[in-house]
Amino acid sequence: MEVPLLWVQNISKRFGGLQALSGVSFKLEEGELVGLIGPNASGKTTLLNVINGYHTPDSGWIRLRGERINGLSPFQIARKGVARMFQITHIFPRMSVLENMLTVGYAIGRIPAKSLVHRAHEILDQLSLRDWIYEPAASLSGGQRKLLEFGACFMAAPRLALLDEPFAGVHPELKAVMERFIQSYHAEGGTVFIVSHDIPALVSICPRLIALHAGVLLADGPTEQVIRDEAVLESYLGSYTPSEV
Amino acid sequence: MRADWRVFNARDIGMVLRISFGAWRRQWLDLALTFGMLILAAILPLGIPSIYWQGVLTVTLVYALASTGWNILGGFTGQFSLAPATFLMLGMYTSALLVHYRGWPPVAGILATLPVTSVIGMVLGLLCLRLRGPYLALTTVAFSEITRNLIRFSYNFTRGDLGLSVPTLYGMEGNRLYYYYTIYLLNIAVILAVHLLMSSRVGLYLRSIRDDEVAAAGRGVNTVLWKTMAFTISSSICGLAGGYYVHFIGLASPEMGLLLQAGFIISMAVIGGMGTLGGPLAGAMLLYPLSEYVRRFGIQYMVIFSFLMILMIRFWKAGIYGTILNIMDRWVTSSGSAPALGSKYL
Repeated sequence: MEVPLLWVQNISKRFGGLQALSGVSFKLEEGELVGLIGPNASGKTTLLNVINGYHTPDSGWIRLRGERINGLSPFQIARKGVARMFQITHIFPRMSVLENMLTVGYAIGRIPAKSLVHRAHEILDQLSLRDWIYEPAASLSGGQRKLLEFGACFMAAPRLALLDEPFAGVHPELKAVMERFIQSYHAEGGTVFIVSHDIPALVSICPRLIALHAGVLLADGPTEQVIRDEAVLESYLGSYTPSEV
Repeated sequence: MRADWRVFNARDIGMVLRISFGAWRRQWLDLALTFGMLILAAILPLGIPSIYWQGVLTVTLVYALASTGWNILGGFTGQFSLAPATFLMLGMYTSALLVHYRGWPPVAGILATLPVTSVIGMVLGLLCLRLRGPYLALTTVAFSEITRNLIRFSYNFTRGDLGLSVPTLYGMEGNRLYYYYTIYLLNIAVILAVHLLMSSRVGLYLRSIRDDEVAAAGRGVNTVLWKTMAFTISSSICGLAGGYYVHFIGLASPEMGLLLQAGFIISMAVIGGMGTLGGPLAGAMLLYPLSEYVRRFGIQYMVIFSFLMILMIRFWKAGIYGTILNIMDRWVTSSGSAPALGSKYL
């Protein structure tokens, strides 16, 4: 039997009186494109933080290609090929756009150093950021900053890209650029895990959805099935009807 | 396992050369401007016959070296340490004690400051790993006060507040210009090393930590390693400045470890331009001679000096050198389309 790319088993995390995650388990296979949905405070970002190593789980374990990664620090997990795009944009504002990209490339070390500049140019071209390449990232607009962080996430050819609300507050044109990028990365065999409240976008690009509610995994399966799941409809989709999404 | 500790390699140098006038345009411009200042610094003492002012210029370059060291930590890595003067003092005592008790020649004492202050800096760096902002600053102040008072109270060993006399590098009759050009060469060596460091991938890591430490870790930067490395390198450069200084003035004194001195060293980097190569040198060349000049106004000199500092910080937030660098950078790039590099980015 093939080892899954990411195996999350029985993960729980508590912050004081708040049980953020309760026994969450799922697997991501190599080359999957999966969406994670759930209402606010359902534990989506906490789950990504636990996978990334920013939080240590209270119980359970996480394996990347069979190797246990919980307990490792964020930079070690990143170097194993897990890239992260944050919900609130985290770029290096006083560094140029190209330097933002190169920092990831050098630090992760998955791409040969001699190809890094070429790869950065390629990605920035696709994201329409080529003209800003030598400018400080602080000079970019809000949407462009989001695109830069998105591009930096894919700079080191990650095994698994964790995208936290990539489409939030983004102009429809930029959103379309991101969606195309994600689909082409997926078509080349990349694995992408997207957290978003943008249900129509997730439904259009993700063949599989996972739903969280109050830290508990509510549903996991093909998108069509999850958006019709009664528990999901009741706890999250609410006013949406499957036909609307 | 990747050799993460390896700072320079052929790959980095190749990278710098390949895209030097693109991404690294600003670093090269910074280097060119710094060398312009160094040429000025080379001819400056030749036009000043006064031995007193030649001495002032020598001390200026001692401060410039210490400020360049602090700039690696405070300017490029964003770790606001208030201990640069303490490392300068530790450098002074390292060399002074070795020369006084072990009979080492001054040159050996000066070189010994590098490993000794590196190790102490590394330990301080490890202690401060999880601290930021005021917590980091206060911890370094506590470290400074503990160190300074330990030296003061170890009277039998260090002669406390009386200070420890040591031989000077070129003897009491030595030409002042020898002292000046020796520290001048040390400054050139350190500036070139800092340029290479900041133009390599390590420079990217340090600046990414300054801009957003959490994001840097999430993108694979070993923040623990590089923050500790920044503390180590910064401390050793301040220590080297101290080692040289003690063999210029011939006396090691705990006075050098006062917080006021730290403020002076940091002011040079801030007023010159934090996070630039030549900022600390520019700040030192401006501030130290100015502070000596305003001494003639008696005890009020600190008021005049502090007021001038406030004015400079108010109107040149990026520092005087930093502002000039920004203007030149904009001039080099401006084909009209590129956004200006204003002080808000510094």
